[in-house]
Amino acid sequence: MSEQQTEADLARTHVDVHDWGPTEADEEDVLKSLYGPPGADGVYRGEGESK
Amino acid sequence: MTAKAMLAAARKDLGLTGRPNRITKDYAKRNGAEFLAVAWCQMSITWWARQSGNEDAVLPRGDRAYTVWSAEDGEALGRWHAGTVANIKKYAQPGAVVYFDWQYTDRIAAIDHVGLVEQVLPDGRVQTIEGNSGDAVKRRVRSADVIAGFWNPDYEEDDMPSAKDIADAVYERFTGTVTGDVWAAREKILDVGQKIDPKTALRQIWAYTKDGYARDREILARLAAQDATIKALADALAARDSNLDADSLLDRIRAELENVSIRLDVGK
Repeated sequence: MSEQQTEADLARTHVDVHDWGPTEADEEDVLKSLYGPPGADGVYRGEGESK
Repeated sequence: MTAKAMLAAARKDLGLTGRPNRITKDYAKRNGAEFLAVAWCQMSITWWARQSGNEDAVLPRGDRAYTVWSAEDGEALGRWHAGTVANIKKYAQPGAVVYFDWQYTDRIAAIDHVGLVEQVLPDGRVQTIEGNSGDAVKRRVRSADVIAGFWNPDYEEDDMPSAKDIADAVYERFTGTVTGDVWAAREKILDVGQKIDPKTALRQIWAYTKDGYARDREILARLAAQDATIKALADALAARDSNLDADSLLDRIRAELENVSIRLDVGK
C-alpha cells in the first residue's frame, strides 16, 4: 500500500471528528471584538476580506 | 516566503464550504481521487502553503492530508511544542501550525484536527483559521486544553530580503557596471562605466587587501624608524651633556607623543 493510499485511509478515519471540538464560551465575543460582526454565513471577516 | 503570505492565503478561503472544494480537488489532483471528500483540515494547510510559496517551511516532507504526519514533520525538525499555556505564550507565533485533540491530551498520535495560528491572545489562547471546521474555513478561538501542540515553520522574516534577493544583489555587484557613487570609483580603484566580471572583482578585492597590508607594514616601519631616531637623538644629547638624563628625556617625549594625533599620508 502506498503512502498516499495509507494517508487517505487515515484522513478518512477523521471525517467529521473536526466538528466535535469544544467551542470557547466567549468565542463569538472575542472574534467580534477582533473582526466585527460575522457575515450571513457565520464567518468572521476583517475589513477588506470580502466574501 | 513569509508567515504573512501564509495567513493571507488562508484569509482568501474564509467561508469556503463543502466538499469536494478547490482545496480537496487540488490535493486529489496530485495524490488521488480518494482525497476529494475526506477530512480536509490538513489539506487546507497544504493548500495555503503551496498558494503562498511556503512549501519548504510548512511541508518539509511534501503534501500532507493526515494531521499526525504533519505534526511529526514539525517534531522531526525539532520545532514541536506541547500545547500548554506557557508554551503558547512563549513560543507560538502567527503562522504556527496548531494541532488539536478533543480528548485533551498532548499526544501527537491522538491529534484530531489542525489550524493555523492567526493571533496569540494575551490569555494564552490562540485565534486560528481552520479548514474543515464544520466543513468550512472559519476563524476560531482555541485554548490550551484542546491544543495537543504546535510548531512554527521556518518562514522567512517579513522584513528580511529573501535569499534570492540577496543572491541577486551579490550577483549584480559582481557583474554590473561601476557607477560614480561607489566607493571603489571614488578611490579610483575602478573606473566609472567599467563592466565588472566576477573574476576581476575578486582579483581586485584581493589586490587591494594585499595593498592594505603593505601600507600597514610601511606605517609600522616608519614609526619604528621615528622611534629609533628619537632614541639616537636623546643618546647624542646625553653624550654631550653628562647632566642630561636620557631615559627621563625619552619618557617625556613618549608622554608628549601619547597626546598627539597624527594624520599619516602614506603612499602619495
